[in-house]
Amino acid sequence: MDILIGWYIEPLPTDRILEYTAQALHKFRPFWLEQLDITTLTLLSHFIEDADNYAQVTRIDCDRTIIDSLSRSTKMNCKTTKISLFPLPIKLLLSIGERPVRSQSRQSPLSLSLSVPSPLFFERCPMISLRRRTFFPSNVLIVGFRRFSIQLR
Amino acid sequence: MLNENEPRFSDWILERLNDVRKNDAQRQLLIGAFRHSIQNEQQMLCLGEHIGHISHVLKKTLESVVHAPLMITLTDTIIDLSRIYPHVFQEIFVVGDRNKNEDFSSPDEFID
Repeated sequence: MDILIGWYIEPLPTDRILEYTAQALHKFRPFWLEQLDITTLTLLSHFIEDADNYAQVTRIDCDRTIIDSLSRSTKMNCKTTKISLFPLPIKLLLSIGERPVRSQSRQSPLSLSLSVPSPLFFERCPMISLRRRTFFPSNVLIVGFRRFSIQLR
Repeated sequence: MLNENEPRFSDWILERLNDVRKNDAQRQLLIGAFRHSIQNEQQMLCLGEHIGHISHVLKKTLESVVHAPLMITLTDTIIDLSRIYPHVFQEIFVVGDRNKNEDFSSPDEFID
């Protein structure tokens, strides 16, 4: 999965690669669901944070004070990731949230803390298409967060 | 069926893959042929005892891909096999480095 995601966010992906890898990520849905708590939501959190950081650095590239305040790893990520990073968490959320998933014993909601994407995130990713349907990222994230009862911070 | 009896077609393919490991075009042809040979695997389950080794080779091949067409053919093959042998591919699915050193509280339950 790391390799597939790597192809998705490579610096200069072609439309064909983007479309194919997005579909492939979707086809692995059973595995995303199987590791929902251990892998999927954690990865989702990282993607949102990476995309947010990237949006901030590319938007405020003149403000050295803010850039200097970011960690070195964040700055390195921002330099190496590309615009395709933005739709990735949305597509992942669409994949795992397509149908309701029920817990084995429903006693308490899923408790996972995720950063709220900044407005810059949505500016960079105004809408995405997947399997011939178009989505607004803000709607998908809101529905996804509600469905999974994710706590926002 | 190509993989039903000895010698298996898959064995020959995996050996040839090693011979042409620096040529993505030839590896794509071989992986495509292997994918063709498993069309009836869901019914036959000829590769059940060897799927661990096969998945390992496919994973190693995927790690060394340079050209996108080979990546696509390989991923399609892995998706096909993962539907037949999901328990085996659960092990190679795991996303590695991003999970290390994370301190999220473990979710207890999940509701709609």
